[in-house]
Amino acid sequence: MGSGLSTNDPTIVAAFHRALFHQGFVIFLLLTLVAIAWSFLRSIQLRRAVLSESGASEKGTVTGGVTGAVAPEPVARRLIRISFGLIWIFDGILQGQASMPLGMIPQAVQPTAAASPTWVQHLVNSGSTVWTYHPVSMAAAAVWIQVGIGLWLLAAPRGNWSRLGGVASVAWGLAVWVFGESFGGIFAPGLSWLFGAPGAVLFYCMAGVLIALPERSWLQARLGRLILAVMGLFFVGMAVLQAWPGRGFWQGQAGRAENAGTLTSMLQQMAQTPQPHLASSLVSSFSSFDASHGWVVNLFAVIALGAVGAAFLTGRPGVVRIGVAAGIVLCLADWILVEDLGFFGGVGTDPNSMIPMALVFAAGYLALVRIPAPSTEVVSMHVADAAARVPWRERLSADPAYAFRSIAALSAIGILLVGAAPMAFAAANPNADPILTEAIDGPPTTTDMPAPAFDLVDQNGRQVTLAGLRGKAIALTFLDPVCTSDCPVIAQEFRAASKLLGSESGHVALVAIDANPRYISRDFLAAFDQQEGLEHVANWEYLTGSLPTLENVWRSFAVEVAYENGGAMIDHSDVVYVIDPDGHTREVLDADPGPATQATGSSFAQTLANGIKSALHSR
Amino acid sequence: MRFALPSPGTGFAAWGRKATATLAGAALIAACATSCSKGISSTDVASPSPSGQDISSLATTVATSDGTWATVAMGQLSQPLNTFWQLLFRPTGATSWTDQVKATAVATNGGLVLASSQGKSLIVGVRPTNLLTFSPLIDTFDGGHTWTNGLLPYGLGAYPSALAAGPSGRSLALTDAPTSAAGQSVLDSEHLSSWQTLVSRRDLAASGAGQACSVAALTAVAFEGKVPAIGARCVHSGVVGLLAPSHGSWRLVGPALPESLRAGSVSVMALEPTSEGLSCLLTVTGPFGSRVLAAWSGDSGQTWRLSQPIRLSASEAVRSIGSVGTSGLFVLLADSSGPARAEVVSGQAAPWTALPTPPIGTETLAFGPGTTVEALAVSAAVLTVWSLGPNSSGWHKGQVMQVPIDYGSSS
Repeated sequence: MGSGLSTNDPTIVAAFHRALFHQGFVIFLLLTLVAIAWSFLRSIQLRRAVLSESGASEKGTVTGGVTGAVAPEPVARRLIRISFGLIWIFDGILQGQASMPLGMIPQAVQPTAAASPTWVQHLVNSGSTVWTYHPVSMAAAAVWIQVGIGLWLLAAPRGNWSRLGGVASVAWGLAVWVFGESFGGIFAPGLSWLFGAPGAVLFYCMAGVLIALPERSWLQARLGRLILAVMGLFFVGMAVLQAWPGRGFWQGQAGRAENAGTLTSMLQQMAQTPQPHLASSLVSSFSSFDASHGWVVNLFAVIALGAVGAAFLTGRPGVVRIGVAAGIVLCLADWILVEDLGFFGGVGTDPNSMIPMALVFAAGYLALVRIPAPSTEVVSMHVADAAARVPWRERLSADPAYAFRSIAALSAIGILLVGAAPMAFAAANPNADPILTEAIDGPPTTTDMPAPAFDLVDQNGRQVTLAGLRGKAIALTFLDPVCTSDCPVIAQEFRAASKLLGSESGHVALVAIDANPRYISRDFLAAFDQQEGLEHVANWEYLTGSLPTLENVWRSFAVEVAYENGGAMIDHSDVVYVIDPDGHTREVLDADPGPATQATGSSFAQTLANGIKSALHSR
Repeated sequence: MRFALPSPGTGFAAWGRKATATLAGAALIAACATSCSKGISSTDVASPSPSGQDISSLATTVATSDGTWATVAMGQLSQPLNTFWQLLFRPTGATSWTDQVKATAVATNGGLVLASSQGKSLIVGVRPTNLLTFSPLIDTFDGGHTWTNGLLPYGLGAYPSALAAGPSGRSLALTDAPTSAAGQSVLDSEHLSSWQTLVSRRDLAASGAGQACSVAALTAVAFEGKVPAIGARCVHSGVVGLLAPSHGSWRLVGPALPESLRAGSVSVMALEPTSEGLSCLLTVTGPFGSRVLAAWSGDSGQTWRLSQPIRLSASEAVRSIGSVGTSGLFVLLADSSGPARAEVVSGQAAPWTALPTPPIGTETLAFGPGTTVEALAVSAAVLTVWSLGPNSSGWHKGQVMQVPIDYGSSS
């Protein structure tokens, strides 16, 4: 799966940047409107405040009292919300790399999926297909969705808007975990905490769940204990996995010649990826160290993971504190020496799992030890209840903090929708974007010239002439019946284009003319039709004639046909002429199938169908 | 803002919570280990590939009245789509070869199969590759000056004797691709078109003769006079799978093996019409290792004369085979390091004669005119022709031909 195009194809990169610019402009307009709305709202609020000072409104006083008495956000929640908000924004910025549209699937998604069971691959492929077919839309969408979620988390610190942001974080995180990370690779061999198991984005989901919890959940130590218990079990489980024999992690002893262990092999690969010299030298040095001391490294990893996990499981603040400190150091070390900061080289989409993981268990510790005092809790609950009884319209105009949160959250949702809407349209479109064809063949050449006449016979022996096809739009190409590569692909693209035309295909003729001077008998056309399943396509015509007649037709359509040396097939131009019902050529398309993937084939079919439709309606 | 610190857990409730947590942890660890066991377990050991009894290459030479034709693979031989089979021709009386592969007008990555009708014509079958599923055919009666073409609607088999040209333009073709649930088939035609199924492997295997052989695969076709003959690889030991039509069915017409070889299973590598009848090359594989032997018959298989068997070492495989003169045969053997040896038998009752070790890269041998022996050696896109000196004194380098291979053209 993949379009087969070069990752940095200039046409796709330019289209991607255009899409980001246009969508960014829409967001700019949106934020401008929001700023105007906020300004208008503030003027209403100020007017009300002046009136309330003169004793005109009871509700304003209550609301002002509500604002002044609300307790600050729990520290743990604030850590999770702000840090993951920033991480989502950072991930969104990473998604804006030029190589994302074409590199995401083959370089980031496929390698993990390839090592996973078949059912995982099928599931991932369904998402990968949408991306491959619409690389620009999907890549741009991913930027704005992630930036939108990040801004949402940052801009809406409290209340239902903030909780909804957490839900959005979970929803998108799960989608990425399944389709982008192949369930974090948990079903693939070689699973290891060292390499980021069970997938970075799963910790984003955990953070989203925590943010989505009612705020009163943070007012007791139970939540902190639960978070630490989950993380403790996770670390202990990872320690057991790391200790498991036969997985290549217990390799590497000085003075013993043996194959590179699993960790060493991974580090060697990571060191090769494009990145700053300092980073690659660190990874490379650690790789050398692991090659000769891998056994010790793994022993350390097992003990460290187990100890940190056990510390979390105790639930004792003093012990947990030590575990958190050790865990942070361990995570940072792995992040630098093994995960290579997560986003260097190739197509880096996020800083990998160590930072989010550390944030989650650090928040768990804070939720355990830094909870609001009981008296403040009671007041906060009364205040929240009072606020809930005030209609939201009144709150908007009377409560500046609530108004700001609402408008900021709506702005972030707007940004998210700027990404999500094109993504939804792309997912609903089963046909690939014509931009892929444009990247391979350039845009179609538009023209308005009388098409050259021809008088040939089809695969069934019937005479076919250009004049006889008047009244129909014609897509005409030149195919070698014994071609082993391009021509069968082009034939299938014609077939797909005909299907896209639906009921209009009855007004269209799909014409191919034999382009092999050796094999011009109808037997070969019939064999080709049978090979390609075209024998029952009603509007398909495969034409031939005598060699002099064919040579004339090739010349008149400027098609070059030549024998090749060395055992190569006949060389001929890959070209399609789109002719309108009046016999005028309207478009000339380069029909080179390029990498001839499913995506490029679908894209060319769409391009061809668009050209035919245009020719049909040109009268 | 005041922060309340949690009080240490005390009493039975606290103990219960800890115990629950510990049990849950143990269960999770166990589940972790079990669910990850699929990822933990070692990868499947690749099953060893079966040793082949069939020839490893289609390279061969065919002599006609106009000259000698040869086919060899050239290019980047490790990449199927950058391997191109060439059609070489040395006219009668000429000393150099020319490349005639342009005449095929199709990508030759799949290989070429050559056949001649009593030396008067040459038929070339192009094996399909990549997205092509049928086999174009071309033939010439004038040494390549003019060509006509034909169409085999299925893929030609990967055997040197997959095509046979009989009298009056009749032809046989052994198809490789499944034409139906029957699998391999032998097709029959009058003039390289309008092919009809003569028999399928399934039907042949179901016949009495086929059951006696236990046909594993069809491997060769030929005409003995006007009668078609089909070669096969048999599962049953000691049975030579050479079949001919008989009263609406098929009968085994192959030779009886010597006692020492009857424990082996036999594969018919090639069938060559001779001036007297038919010759065949057999491989026999059994507890004794592998042997190659030739057999001749002039009476539709009623009697046969067998050559002495050639013993193959464990690392040797048959690289190329072909005819020599009117009834002789040659075998080129190779191992992992390249051509190992060449053996020639001039006809019935003649012993095998070993030629000097062929030069590195030798893909096939060409015999004639007279006592001329040439080795066609390939290195990527360079063909080197080596001639055997007088009294088989050694190989002498001759013609060197650079073939313009269009790498990437088939992708």
